[in-house]
Parts: sequence; C-alpha cells; structure tokens
Amino acid sequence: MNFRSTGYLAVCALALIYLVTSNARGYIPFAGSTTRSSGGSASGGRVFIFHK
Amino acid sequence: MSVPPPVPPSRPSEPPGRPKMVACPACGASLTLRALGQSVTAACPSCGSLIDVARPDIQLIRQYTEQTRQLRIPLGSRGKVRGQLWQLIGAMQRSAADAAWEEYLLFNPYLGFRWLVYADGRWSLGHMLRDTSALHPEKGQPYLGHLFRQLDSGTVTVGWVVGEFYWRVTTGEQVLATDFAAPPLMLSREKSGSEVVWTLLEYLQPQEVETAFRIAGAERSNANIADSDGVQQPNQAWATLRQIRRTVFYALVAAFLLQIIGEIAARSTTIDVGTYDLQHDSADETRIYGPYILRPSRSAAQLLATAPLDNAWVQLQGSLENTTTGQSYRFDGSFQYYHGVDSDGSWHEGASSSSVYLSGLPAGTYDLVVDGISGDQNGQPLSSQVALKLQLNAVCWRNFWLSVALILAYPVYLIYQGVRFERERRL
Repeated sequence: MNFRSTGYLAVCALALIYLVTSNARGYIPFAGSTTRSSGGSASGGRVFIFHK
Repeated sequence: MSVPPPVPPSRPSEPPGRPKMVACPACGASLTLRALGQSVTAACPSCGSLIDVARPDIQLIRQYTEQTRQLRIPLGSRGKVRGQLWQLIGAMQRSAADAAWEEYLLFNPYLGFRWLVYADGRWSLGHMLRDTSALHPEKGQPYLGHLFRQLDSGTVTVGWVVGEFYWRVTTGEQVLATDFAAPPLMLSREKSGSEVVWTLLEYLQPQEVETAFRIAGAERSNANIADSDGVQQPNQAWATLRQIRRTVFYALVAAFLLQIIGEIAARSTTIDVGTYDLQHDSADETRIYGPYILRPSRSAAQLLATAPLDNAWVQLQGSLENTTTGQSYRFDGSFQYYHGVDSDGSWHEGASSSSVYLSGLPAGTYDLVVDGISGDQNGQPLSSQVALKLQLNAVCWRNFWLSVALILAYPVYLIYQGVRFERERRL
C-alpha cells in the first residue's frame, strides 16, 4: 500500500468518525438559523428572550 | 510527436562473441565491438563514420565529419533493466514529421537485443516480436490481453547513428511506421520494402533507467501531462483509482451501515405538539408548548409544520427554551404554496409543509415557543392553523451525505484527472 492509498484510507476513516460522532452528538450542519442566547424560561411566568 | 519511435529490423541472435577492439578506418580511433558476430554496422564514437564490421576486413562505409553525439547514456554502459543486465552498444536518432527521438540498442549475449527508446523525457523498452501470427491490432484483435488503438502512421528517418548495429543502418534510412497503443504498451510496425517488423514497447519509469545506467535525470517538464508523446505512459489516475476502489466501496458501505445504526440507536420519537392559529392578534401571537425532555447529553430536534395553503405563505419563528439554564435555541422557517393556470397549463410551486432542524441540544427540559405570521394573495393573514410536530433525538442524513462527499471527493478527482489525461494525449 503506497502513500496515496494510505492517505485515502485515513480520509475514509475521518469521514466515518465524523459521521458517528456528529450523529451521536446531534450535530447537524447547516441547521437553519439556530443560535443560542441566555435568558429566562418561557414557562413559569419567567422572561424569555425572543427575537423575530 | 505524430509517430512514436519504431524499432528497426532485427536479425536472429546468434551465440555471443567476445568484445574486440578495432581501429576506425577513418580516424584511427579505437572501437570496441561488443556484439561481434552479430553486429553488421558500427559507427565510430570519435568521428561518426559508419564502418562495415560484418566483413573480416573492417571497411569504411561512410565518413562523417560531425562530432560524436552527446548521448544520454554513454556507449558501453551497463545497467539492469527489468532484472536483466544489458550493455548499451549503439544509439541513433530518428524523426518523423515534427518530432525526433533517440533509440539506444542494448545487448546481452544470452538474451539478444533490446531497444531503449527516449522521447521527451520518457523511456520505453522494446523488443522485436518473432511470432506475429496472432498479431492483428489493426483489426481490433487484442494482443496480450490488451486492445491496441492505432495511432498515426508515417515515414521515419534515421538522423544519426553511433555504435554498433545488427543491420546496415545509414543516415537517411527510411521506413513506414505505424503504431498501436495500449498504455503502458505500444506495438510498432515497420515496413521497409517487403520486410515487416513488429516491436513491442513497454513504458519505463524514467527513474528506472536513470538508476540502472547511473545517468542524470532528463528534463521532464511535461512528463506529468500527457500529450501525443505520452501514448505509452500509464494513466496514473486510473492506476490509483484501481488501488483504492475497494476502499471506496467498503467505506461507502460502512458509512451507510453506521447511519442506519445511528438511526436505530437514536430512538427518535415524534410528538404531536398541537396547532398554531395563524389568525391571531398581538396578545396571542406567541404560543408556548411543552415541556419536552431531552435525555441524551447532546441531541438534535426537528420541528415539522404543515398547513393547508392555497396561494399563501407561512413564516414561523421561535425557539426551544431550556427551562433550567434559560438557553434559547432559535429557529426560523417559512413555506409557501402557489398554484394556477397560465398559457402553458397548470402550475404549482412550493409545498404546504416544512421542517427545521435544531442542532446539538444539551440534555434538559425544553419549552417550544412559536410565533407565526402568514399571508394570502390579498396580504391578509390566514384563518387556518399550522399543525406542529416535534421529533426528538432526530438523526439527519446530512451527516451521511457529507461523509459520502468526503469519501468520494478523491475518487472523483482521480476520474477527472484520468479523463483529462486521456483527452490530452488524444489516443
């Protein structure tokens, strides 16, 4: 197995590792406009931050 | 070049003779005849004169005033090519149309003659075929399991010669050559009068020749780019593709299986959240649903919205609010559905449903906050409702397709390179 084959094998391994870990961690690329901010809870009468 | 280098007629090899020193009849310089008994002609390395060495009394055939050529491999050099030891005994330059190349005659007393052909930084090793009964590449018949394609045909002329040869070669000698290529092999057919000679040439890596004869590397500025000179050059992209094709297959299968396993292991659940009234005032514009519990340390969620749209649009904004930490994971999505009839007939566009993903949500309890607006053709809010569903622990196929793209990127690049290579050398 030469350098190119070994290198490609490593790329495949990375691709599979990415697939497993991203699925396991619920990571979804290009998942819309998801952002995070701190604020209160929406329930219980507390304040929540919401931007239209 | 239009016609790749052919190989001159051969005579059957005979038992090896010992090297012999003779004096050049023209300049008196010493010549070493290394294939004595088989060589017919020798060119003096000092003055370039052609000498008849087939006769006991060495005679001058033609005297040249040109200086000895600067050979890429010196006469008398020994080197191992393809596991066999060869000695270089002669060299000549030949040309056709707008190209010229060099042919170096190798000799091994037990194996006979071979040709090292040099053209534009590329080397190939050739030997004359004696049994040509099964050789019909011009009729599309495969040879040695390869299908050869016919290249250009043309007249090949000898430019200069140095050293010994097994036929009476002279400057200006011409043959009609036709070549057939099946990289890394090439068949060369030469016609001279009634005589037809076939030669099989195999591409050699330049380093192989340079190492064998301990010579400096020739210029190979365009050796990586195929052109008509590279008809024998193996397509490196295809070769690499063949090497990795199993890896590609197994990686794709593994990715698919891992995605399926991920889907099963995620145990996604879809919750019927309820409906959102598109007809509302500012007081009840924002609706809160939940709470919903996410148990995995990190997971994704998908909100699905469906509404009976008729030439209308809906936009939903909102967030998943962590009731403990207060962190907000926002989304924004819209969908529309229009239809009608025009001169081309009926048409429609859009959809009456949509979905949006929320990525990497930490474990916890969440409220779903939704705020929506809508409009019909008249700009009025819709009086209908949007049905909402929330899929927890969602697994998205985007990661799978990204992995597939990563796996296929290099093979696709190789295919591009391989096709480009073949186009450029115009086989």
